[in-house]
Amino acid sequence: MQIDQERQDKKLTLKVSGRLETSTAPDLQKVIDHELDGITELKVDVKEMEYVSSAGLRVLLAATKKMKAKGGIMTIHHANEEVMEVFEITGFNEILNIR
Amino acid sequence: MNQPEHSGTAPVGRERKTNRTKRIPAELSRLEAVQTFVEEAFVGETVSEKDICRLLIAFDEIFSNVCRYSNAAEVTVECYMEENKAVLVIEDDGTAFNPLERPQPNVEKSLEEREPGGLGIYMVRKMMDGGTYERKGNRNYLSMILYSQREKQV
Repeated sequence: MQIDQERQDKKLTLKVSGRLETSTAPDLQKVIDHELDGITELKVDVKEMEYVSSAGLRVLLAATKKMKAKGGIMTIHHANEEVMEVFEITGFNEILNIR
Repeated sequence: MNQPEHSGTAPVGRERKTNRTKRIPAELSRLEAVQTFVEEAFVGETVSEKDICRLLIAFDEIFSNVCRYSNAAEVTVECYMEENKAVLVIEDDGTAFNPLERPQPNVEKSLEEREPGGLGIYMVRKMMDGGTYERKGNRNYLSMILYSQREKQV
């Protein structure tokens, strides 16, 4: 998995590519823990994400809650079929802001 | 069927693919390497890329669960094709646990009510076409199957 960051004022875009799963989710968690100071808009671009497992969902859920708690918003963009399938099965399509 | 691995005439890789088994310590640090093993076992078989993703997700969920909660020392993974089915068997020597009988989580809770966890096994059950669980001696045997795309369209 690879995470590319693009920052513009209070906006942060994370391009997460590859597999978001048990072995890689901690890397995304680290970014969420350390890079969100002053950020009000977090965009997670998953265009190049192959799939997401429940370990990845956990991080996406925590990040969405964190952004909401500080009055900001996290949105998810360009989810492919495999990623959407997981969001739909788990009901995450209703609780994440999928664009 | 089970042909010797070193048969001189037929392509060796093909035979080894048909039934591949790997035994590993039940440690999360092994996850990535075994996923590569699972992926390689099914690539080139009549399993779509999407189904390979599903198998890798299933493996991630079950293996990480075994490592975290079962006190298992060892896990054996078996990958094989049976007619038009991809079969993934995960065997461990941990506490008896049947993931197929776990109560379903409520997937309609709001963002605020959602707690992390509990979703992995549910995802596996929803994504696989079938599965069986057996407890034999002091070991758990979980077998998960996916029909090839062609089969599903019939």
